[in-house]
Order: sequence, then structure tokens, then C-alpha cells
Amino acid sequence: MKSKQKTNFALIAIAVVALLFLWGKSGYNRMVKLDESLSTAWSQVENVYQRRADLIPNLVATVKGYAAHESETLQAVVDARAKATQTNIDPSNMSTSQFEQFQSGQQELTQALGKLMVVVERYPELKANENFRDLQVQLEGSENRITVERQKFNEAARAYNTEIRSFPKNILASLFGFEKRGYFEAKAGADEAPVVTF
Amino acid sequence: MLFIALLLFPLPLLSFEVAKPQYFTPVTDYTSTLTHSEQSYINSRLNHFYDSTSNQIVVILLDRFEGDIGSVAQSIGERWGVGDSNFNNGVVILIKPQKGREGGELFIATGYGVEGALPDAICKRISEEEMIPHFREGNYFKGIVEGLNVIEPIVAGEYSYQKYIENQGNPLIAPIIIFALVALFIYRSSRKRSRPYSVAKGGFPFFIPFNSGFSSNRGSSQGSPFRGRGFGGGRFGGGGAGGRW
Repeated sequence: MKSKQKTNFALIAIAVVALLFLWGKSGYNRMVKLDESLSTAWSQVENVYQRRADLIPNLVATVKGYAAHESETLQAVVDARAKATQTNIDPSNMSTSQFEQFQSGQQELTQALGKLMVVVERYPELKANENFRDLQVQLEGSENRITVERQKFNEAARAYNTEIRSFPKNILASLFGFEKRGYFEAKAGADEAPVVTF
Repeated sequence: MLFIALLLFPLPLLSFEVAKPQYFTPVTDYTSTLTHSEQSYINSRLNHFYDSTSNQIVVILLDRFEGDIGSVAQSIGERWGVGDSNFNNGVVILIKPQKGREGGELFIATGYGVEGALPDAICKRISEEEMIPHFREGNYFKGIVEGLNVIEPIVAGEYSYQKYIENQGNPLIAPIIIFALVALFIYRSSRKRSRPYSVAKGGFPFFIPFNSGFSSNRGSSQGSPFRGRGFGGGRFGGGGAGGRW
């Protein structure tokens, strides 16, 4: 009788362990998957910001040819670009302060570009230049892409954060060291597409 | 927690919803701008284009929407899944016709996979030089067709956008293309009474049962006989450009 109870107990224990293992496995794998998609989304965010940064040397050179007086505004753009491209973030190890630094750097560049685009309004010849017009379109396109990729990143971050912070998966998450990730905050003006109207 | 999360992530792009058609439908006109026969011409043309090249192009006419036309076009493309999920080769042409004093707007949104073939600057050029001049005169159908005349071969890879720039101003090509397409259309419509979804490539009519498990066919659609009749799950990253008048 006693030995039968023992085997029963052992069987139940094995079943529980097996179930726990299966639950842990699927939970862990799902977190890995979400983590991966978050990294992918992040690299897309970096891509589109890089795309914008890559346009700037050409843009500055073109504007210079027509609006040499605006060297201060142009220099501000060049400086902001240099600063913004300095901050690189490793997606698997993204601290909140790094993330904020990245955001503020890009935000400064956005503002500098915005100012430049206001200034060029004074130069009709520049605005008629075909090369400049193409650059304007590309810049506008970059800003659109930035908005989209930020949004997609936020969605991925939300899915990930919800997963690792909800009970009981948070136990699993802390066990395997999944941490909450930052996202683009919808601060006033920060999440809006920078207005580049022509 | 969820509540806070929702507060932190307002989804401005998703706040505007245009109902997704159940099956691949090239033209969606909420403005009654296009006549029935114009719609069915564009439908059959773009269905044919999809059958022969696997690129999905949709034309949407809306009277009003919230926010920037570019993000609306992007979010429609993404939510509908225009284009193939592997190639992301969809294009969304969103038109807000001019109404009274309110100006019109146009945006050509490109899927990730089309951004290279159809860069933003080219979308802008096509908008301003092929489409908007006709829109300005109220001839929406002609503007759309002229736009498609350029977009289709570029997206299909028949010629590059550089060639389009070179050819611009060459008056010979467009009429030839139009003539060929009209001839093709007449030929096609004479072979079948145009029922938008009814004819497969081989020419036999088939019927798509409602609420068939379409979405599960997506992605693994090789060899499925229904390949080609749903939206493919293509994604959009904000590429494209447009203009206003």
C-alpha cells in the first residue's frame, strides 16, 4: 500500500516537473522570439535614422551653393548630425539612459533640419533646383519612414514588455534575465513626424 | 499596467480604419468619383498585372481621413497586406479628390520591396507630371491610368526609373502604351464579361466560398489554387511620395 502511494507520488511529481518544463520551454521560446523581433525592429529604426543622416552631406552641399549666408544654420545641421550618429545602441543591452540619449540626439537633428527647411524658403532658385527637390522628397520620405519604424518598434516593445511583465511569466523572465525595454515616448512633439512642409 | 501601456502607446496611425476587402480588390472608391466601367477597367487591368507579375497595386479614393495622407496610405498598405509577404511588393495609390475649396491630395506608397525600384523622388515625379495634371482637370480616370502606365513597368522591372526620366517628354511612348492597353482591354473584356474575381489565369471561372480559410493559406501559398486572390501580407515602411493640387 505504502509503496503504491510512493510510486503514485513519484508519478505525479514527474508529471508536474514535465508540465513545468513544457510551460517554461514555450514561455522562454516565446520571449526569445519577441526579443528577436524587437531587435529587428530596432535595427530598422537605426536604418531609417541612418538613411536620413546619409542625406545630409549632399543636402548641405546643395544648399551651400545657393545660400552661402546661412552658414550658421548649415553648421548646426552638420553638428547635430555628428552628434546624433555618435550614439550607437546595442539592442540586446539597451539601457534607458542610452535610449534617451539616442532620442535626444536625433531630436536635435530633426530640429536643426526643420530650421534649415524654413530658411531655404527664402531662396527660390534653390527651391527650383532639381537636385534639391529630389533631396527634399528623400528627406520627407526619411521622416515618414522614421515615424513608421518608431511606431513598429513601439509595438514590438509593447508586446515584449507585456509578455515579460505579466504574471506568472514574469517569474520566468526574471529567472532568465529578460528585462524591460525602453520605447519611444510620445512626449509632446517627440512622436509627431517632424513637420517638413514645402 | 495594461492601462498605462495603452496610455503610453496611442496608435495614431491606426486610429483611422478603412475596411479591408476580403479579397484582393484593386480599386476602392469611397467617393463615387470613378464610374462603374472605369473601375472595372482598372480592376481587370490590375488583376491581370497581379496575375502576370505577382505585384499588387491598389488604388483607393477617399473623401476624408485623419492625419497625413502618407501615413494613411502606409497604414492601409500594411494593414491590408498589399503585396507578397516575402517580396513586400505592394503599391498603394491613395487619392483624395478635390472637393469645393478643399484641395486634392495624392500619395503613392511603396512597400519595402518596391522602394528600390520606385524611389520617393520618382513617386513624386509621377504624381506631379503624370497624374496631378489630369486630376486638376477633374479627369481622375485618365490620371490614374497615366500613372499606372509608368508605375506598372517600373514595378514589374521591365524598365528602370532612370529610363523613365530619360523618356520623359518623349511624346511617342505613352500613346503607344495606351493603345496597346486599350486593345488588350477590349480583347480581354470581349473574352469574358468582366466579373472582377471570377476568372483564373487559365480562363476557367471559379468561385471563392465566403469565409474560406484564406488567411491560413497566406504565406504558404505555393501551389495553392487560390494563390493570387487574397492580399499577400506585404509590409510598408513609409516609402513613397505624392503631391497636392
